[in-house]
Formats: sequence, structure tokens, C-alpha cells
Amino acid sequence: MDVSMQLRDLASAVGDDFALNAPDDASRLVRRARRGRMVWTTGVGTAVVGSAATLAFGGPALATVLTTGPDVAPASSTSILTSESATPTPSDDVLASEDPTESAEPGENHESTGTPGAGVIDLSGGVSGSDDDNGTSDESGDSDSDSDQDQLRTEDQDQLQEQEQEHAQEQEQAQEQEETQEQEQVSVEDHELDD
Amino acid sequence: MSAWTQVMETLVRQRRPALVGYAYLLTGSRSEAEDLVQEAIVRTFARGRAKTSVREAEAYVKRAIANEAVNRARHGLVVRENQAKLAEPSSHPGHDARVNARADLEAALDMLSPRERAVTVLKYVDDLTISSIAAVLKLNDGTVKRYLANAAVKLREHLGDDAVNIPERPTVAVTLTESRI
Repeated sequence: MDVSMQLRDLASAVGDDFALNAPDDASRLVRRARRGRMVWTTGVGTAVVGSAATLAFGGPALATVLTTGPDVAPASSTSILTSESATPTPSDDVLASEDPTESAEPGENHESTGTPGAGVIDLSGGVSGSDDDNGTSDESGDSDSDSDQDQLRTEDQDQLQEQEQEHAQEQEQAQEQEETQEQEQVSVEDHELDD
Repeated sequence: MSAWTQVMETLVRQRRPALVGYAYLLTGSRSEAEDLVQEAIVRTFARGRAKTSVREAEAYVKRAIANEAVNRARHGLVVRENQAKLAEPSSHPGHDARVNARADLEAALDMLSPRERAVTVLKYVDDLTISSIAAVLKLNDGTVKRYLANAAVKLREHLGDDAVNIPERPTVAVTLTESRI
């Protein structure tokens, strides 16, 4: 017998055997197909609608952002200090600034650079910093390694200590001047009394 | 009820046994054939392509079965139930010639590679042409011919020379002449 006939006989025999105790799960298969069809339709519809919306609305805006950068500037970019200092690295500003009150300004400079990542880093640094050195903590948030942060903190503390010492010396000098003035007045009055 | 649902229900109720038999030729496993048919039906109707007739849907499901059978066999997912059965000789003395012929055929099919088996089924059961088989299995025509020739040799070894009739290639008389440079 031809192999074609043998194959068909075998297939029909297996099919007949299956038909004797075939499960009546046609409704279950229809439910599975309907579920898969729903997922397939949802996926295709979402892709089509998304791509159409991107082309219709998001396309020009996306092209503008990619070519010219973000249009919306951060709120802190209006500060005057941002236009004065445009140093690329914040660590240089920290090392160069002697006044700890000025050290908070480079943090705003980073926000004014227009890069959203820098603003995020500044916020995280401000949250992690203490109340005494908010400006320095902002700078530490910009630094990459912990060692750099420690160096910045120690330098800021040294600067604070030096300023406190200078302030104390000025107060002492002022007190000494007042004492000398009082002594001079007392001596003048004594001379006048002697006269 | 939508049109595709009616077509699918009709296909499942009327043509499912035939599809299981067809899948059995490709897999050699009854359970694998049932699973294959179920997956092929669900996959066929889950896609958005409209199936307006049972005949069209059955042809599409058959293609899906053939491709999935080849993929599963190539990845070693098919558990051949016939391995142990075929290894044993026919222990029942009452076996008639038909049962022996079926066992021989299954043994011969098991000797084929997955693609050789699929090509054989598509050729001798579906009566597809070489180009149609190549389109279904995403192969070249030459590859299909090679698989068919290899399968024919193996089938002849098990079933005899009369089982497989492959038309011989026409011989072309070639006359050698001196080439002029």
C-alpha cells in the first residue's frame, strides 16, 4: 500500500480513537481564544494609539526637547548669583569660597544650569544635610565620593572656626579699646580734679 | 455571538479529531498531538485575523500545527511515547496485518528527523507542492527536496520499495564537447 494511504489511515484511526472520548471543552477553548484575542487587540490598539498620539502631539515637543533642550527652566534659575558664576564643577566653587554663607549659592547655580539631574541631586543633598550647613550639604550632595564629602565638611568646619576666632578677637579688641577709652576719661577727670 | 466564535466552535466540534490525527503523524505522541491541536486552535483564533470559513480556519490551524511540531521536536519538547512500545516485538499473537503495518509505519516515522517528518506529512497527506511546503515551513525549495529524498530513503528501508513512489529525476543526455578558449 502506498505510504500516503497508510499515513491517512493512521491519522483517521487516531482521530476516531480521540473522538470516542473527546473532551467537550469547546466553550473553554473559545474562552481562551477570546481572552487571548482581547489581550492581542488591547496590545495592538495600545501600540497604534500610542504611536499615533506620539506622532500627533508628542512628536514636535519631543523633537524640540531633543534639539534645543527643555523649555521650562527651574525656579531657582532667576537668582542673580546664577549669572555671575557659571563654573562647571561645584567642588571648585566650594573650595574657592571662604564664606560658608556663599557656599550655598553654587547649589543654586547647578539648578540654573538647566540640567534636571543636577537639580535632583541638589535636592537630595539638601535633605540629607544638617540645619547648620545647608549650603555645604548641598555641595556634598554634588560630590561623587564620600571622601570628597568629608574633605568639604572639614574644610567648612575649619572656615567656621576661623571666622569665630576672628569674631572673638574683634570683640576682645573692641572691649580693650573701650577699656582704654574709659581709663583715659578717668585719667582726664582726675587731672581736672587735681587742677 | 461573533462570526469567528461560530467558526471556532464548529471547527472544534467537527474537525478536532481529524486535527488530532494529523498532529499525531507529526509528533508520534497522542497527548502531544492533543496539546498541539489545542494550542494551535487557540493561537489561530486569538489573533485578529478573521476566519470566515471552517475550511480556511482548518488549513491555518494545520500550518500552525506543522510549524509548532517542528519547533517543539527540534527543542526536544516532544516525549516519544512510542519509543518503548516500538522497541518491543509484537507480543500478541493475534496481531493482524493492519496493526503490524501501523506499527511499522510509526517506527518508520520515528526514524525521520522533525523536518523530514513534517515534509513527508505535508507532501503525502496534504498533497502540497514543493513550493507550498517550503512556504509553510519557511524553507528553500531545494531544502525541501533534500528532506523529501532523505525521508523517502528511510521509509523505503522500513516499508519496502513499493511504499514510497518518488518520481525519478529525468536524466538529461549530456554530450561532452571540447571547449573552445
